[in-house]
Amino acid sequence: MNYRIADSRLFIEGAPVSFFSGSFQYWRISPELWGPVLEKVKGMGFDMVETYMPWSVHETAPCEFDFGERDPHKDVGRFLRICHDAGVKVLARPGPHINAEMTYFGYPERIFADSDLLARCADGTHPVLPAPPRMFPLPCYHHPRFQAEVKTYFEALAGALGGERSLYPSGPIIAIQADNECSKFMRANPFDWDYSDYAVRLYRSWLENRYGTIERLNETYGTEAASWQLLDPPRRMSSARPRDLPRMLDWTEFGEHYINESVRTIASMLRELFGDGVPLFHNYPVTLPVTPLDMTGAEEFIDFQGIDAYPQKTAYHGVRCGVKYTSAMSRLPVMAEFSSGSIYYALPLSLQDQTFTTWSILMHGIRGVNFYMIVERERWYGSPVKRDGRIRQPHYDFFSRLLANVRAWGLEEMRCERPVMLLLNREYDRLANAASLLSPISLLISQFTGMFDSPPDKLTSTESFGLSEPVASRYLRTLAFWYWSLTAAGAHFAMGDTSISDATLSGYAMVIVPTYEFMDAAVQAKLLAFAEAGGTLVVGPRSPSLDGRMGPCDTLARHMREPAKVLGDADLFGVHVDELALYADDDSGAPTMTYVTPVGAGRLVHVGLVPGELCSVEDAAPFSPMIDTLTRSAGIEPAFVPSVEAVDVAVWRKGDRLLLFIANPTDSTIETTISHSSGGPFVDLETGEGIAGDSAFSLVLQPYSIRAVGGGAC
Amino acid sequence: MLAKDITVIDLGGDNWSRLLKLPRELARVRSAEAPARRVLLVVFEGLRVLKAIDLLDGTEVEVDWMGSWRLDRVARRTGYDVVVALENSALARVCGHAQRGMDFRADMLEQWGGYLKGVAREWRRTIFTWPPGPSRIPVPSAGMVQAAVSALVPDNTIGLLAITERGRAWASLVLGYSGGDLWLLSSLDAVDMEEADLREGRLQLACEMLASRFGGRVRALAIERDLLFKIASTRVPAAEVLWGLNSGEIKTIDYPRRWKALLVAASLLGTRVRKNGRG
Repeated sequence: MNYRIADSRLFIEGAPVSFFSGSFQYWRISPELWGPVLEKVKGMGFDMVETYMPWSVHETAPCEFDFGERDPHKDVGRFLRICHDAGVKVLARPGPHINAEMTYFGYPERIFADSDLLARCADGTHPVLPAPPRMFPLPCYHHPRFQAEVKTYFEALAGALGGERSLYPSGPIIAIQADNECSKFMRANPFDWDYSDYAVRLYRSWLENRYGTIERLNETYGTEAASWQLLDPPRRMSSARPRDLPRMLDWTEFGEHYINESVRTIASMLRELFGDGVPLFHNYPVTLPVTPLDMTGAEEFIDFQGIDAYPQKTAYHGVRCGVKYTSAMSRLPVMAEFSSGSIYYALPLSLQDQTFTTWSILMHGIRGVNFYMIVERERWYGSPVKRDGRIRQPHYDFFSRLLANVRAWGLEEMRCERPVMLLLNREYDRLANAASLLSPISLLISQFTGMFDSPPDKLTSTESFGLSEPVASRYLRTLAFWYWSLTAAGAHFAMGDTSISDATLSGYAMVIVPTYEFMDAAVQAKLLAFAEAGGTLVVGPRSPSLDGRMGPCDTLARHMREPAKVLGDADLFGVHVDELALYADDDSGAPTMTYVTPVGAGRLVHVGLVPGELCSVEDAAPFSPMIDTLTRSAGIEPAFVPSVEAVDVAVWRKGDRLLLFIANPTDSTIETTISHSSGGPFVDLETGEGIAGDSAFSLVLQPYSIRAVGGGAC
Repeated sequence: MLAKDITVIDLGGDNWSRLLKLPRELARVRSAEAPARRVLLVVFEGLRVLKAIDLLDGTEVEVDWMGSWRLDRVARRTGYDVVVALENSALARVCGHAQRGMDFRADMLEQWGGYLKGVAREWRRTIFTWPPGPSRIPVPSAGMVQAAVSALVPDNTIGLLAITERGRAWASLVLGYSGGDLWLLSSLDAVDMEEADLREGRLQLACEMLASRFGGRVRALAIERDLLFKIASTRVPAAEVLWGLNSGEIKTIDYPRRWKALLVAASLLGTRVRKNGRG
């Protein structure tokens, strides 16, 4: 199969793929209904389905498998043939981790009986995932015997599917998932687990690769380790001076390597069995895949990746954040699992939730969606197609309209306009994860359970860990400040992190990144190069004077000034800020909280503001004029700015076609005016009605609704 | 108690959504008169406070910390009704206790029991509260709980709870219990009666269809939604329950006497003397 990914789209045999799929778990549906149910799925406009192929379903005894020889429900080969005959493409997800609300998440029970294969916590016990109906201990993916077990299953599965013959165009498979939601099962606090032998071996070799010599490591850590084999990972967050931090941050960063190596191992097995002619993908169980998830690193060995979400309509900003991030960081940003119905013990989702959140993710840049589950099955409810082929008409109609509109409006060919990039700082994210209180709570768990919803640093320690201030906690607040302030100002921005490539970075006019006293030297150099090439780099509140290993580094700091005055617990525009640094203005000498330094063809803007708790658009609204000034000074003219801060607008274009999504993410009806300089005319794409207004038009937006407005030739 | 391969099937769409929302709605009705109790969470390490937050809104709170043995003072000075103080390693230690004895094959009730035992072991070691609560947390063994459930629920039972609106099913829950295990979780959608009229013998028909679909003996309780909310909000729920049983707003089919006794006992226990909801 010839494939390529370009412009955030998948092309197979030269043709773009409309990446809308629905989950259909064959072994949970009567085999005689596979064909008729598939027709119902096609009836909504889907020409792609996704299915897991669970290890525990097909393994009947160690090294013995049933692929339909005994139980027709397990005849995955026949299921693929039916899909192929029906012209339906397939996303294959063979695990080994699948969840699917199955007991033991698709791992055969016998795997857990061998304690040698299991991961270990800092206290030596085996970490457990408390998932109903049985909790189970977590395996260590780096144990060679675990890998051999997985490979045996994959070989049997590939044999049953016919290997490369199962791939498009001779078969229906167009992409294969390399494991599922690899995230240390969200128990991602670095000091929780994995201290198993094979994990610690991997850690030592990772350190060796990073430092080269033990002397260099000792010099950084301030230790006297005699050999790599004697290095033990830290078991709790403890740092009394900056020099203690590299060891903590290395262990935290190693968590990223641990996960990516797990996925890489699974990916290479799949490559061996299915060849290079199929894209491999991976997905994360949270909307904002922060450390220890590493999208940039993962795309070195997989083709694309995405996130999973089952949001209620009230979770708009959480989802928006994640989609903005994923759409900038992934080659082909997909929602590998997006709610269609609900898991049986989760909060229910209404059709309004479904409608609003689905358009939300498309509005902010997701380019492909797999609706999980499009066909209902055991331990799931509320899908448009029931297990017996009956349909839930309102849901069925929603999906039919959704796909018809996406295609009719040409959304898949358009690009989202976002001249500003807000960068998460990976080093501070690592510090924040290491500083998460009450392990096993981690940034990921907090995100998943909503514990961090507001304020962002709720369960992050306010300790300084030897630095001059509590960087972890303050960083999270600074990030929240920029997110809410940009949103309140109606700025069109993407999100990414400091691992972003130079090439991607160069596509933005302005980059904002929180900076505190330490920052990786290479990242500093990359950001400075961005500014020197003509971009506007917004940094602050601090000048980083140390690199990631706590050695001196002034790459950015030499372009930044020391404040003339620092005000603690200040009031700025009526909002409390923890600290406000004032600098002498170049021309007048008057105190100012921002100043601009020309660097190369671009500029560096320093904002010396340590914000307090900002948790909403309303909190941040007083900062809108400041954001407006900043963006205008970077040459970014405001476009389609709503008169009400809570209203959110996304702008999509291709050539002279313009598509606006205008969202009301609140529970009140809002009447807003959208000012613009495009001239119009505009049309409501749902109703076909014209919208009048040369420089502004008015809209009434119902609670939790999104209007699609076309302009130009759209 | 909970079957390893529990069958969770045909929950319906709207049905299950309504059912999952119901406890919250009932709790809201029940607590409408009672003021919300403010809870302060303090995470500490020795004499250092790592974070103190208001659990309701997550905002940070300044506390004058004198150690976990002076939470009364923290409560008095901050004005919080309840203070929960956790040593930073508390959750890890609770997990450690549970994980040390965890059997992945064991019943989930027993598995959760491991966490509860972990909490009991850490109680007043790394977990503290104000008001202080009991000096120790008694943890019943899984065997005791199992025996109590088995005594209450006849073997091979299919239980149907239907919440009706003017006789029509608004939400329903079907549970299967056999051999000491809950093995089935379903709804009237399983017999295509998700929103069916259950009056005039049709509740009996639903029971027969469920018996034919899942086997076992079906025991049903149907209650009008309005009455359920009245029971939740009234100070004397027993009176409403008795009214419902007599007026037909509560219907039962093959309902064991022990369940009826339990229903009445629970409603008596729900009697509230004071207006603030604390009975």
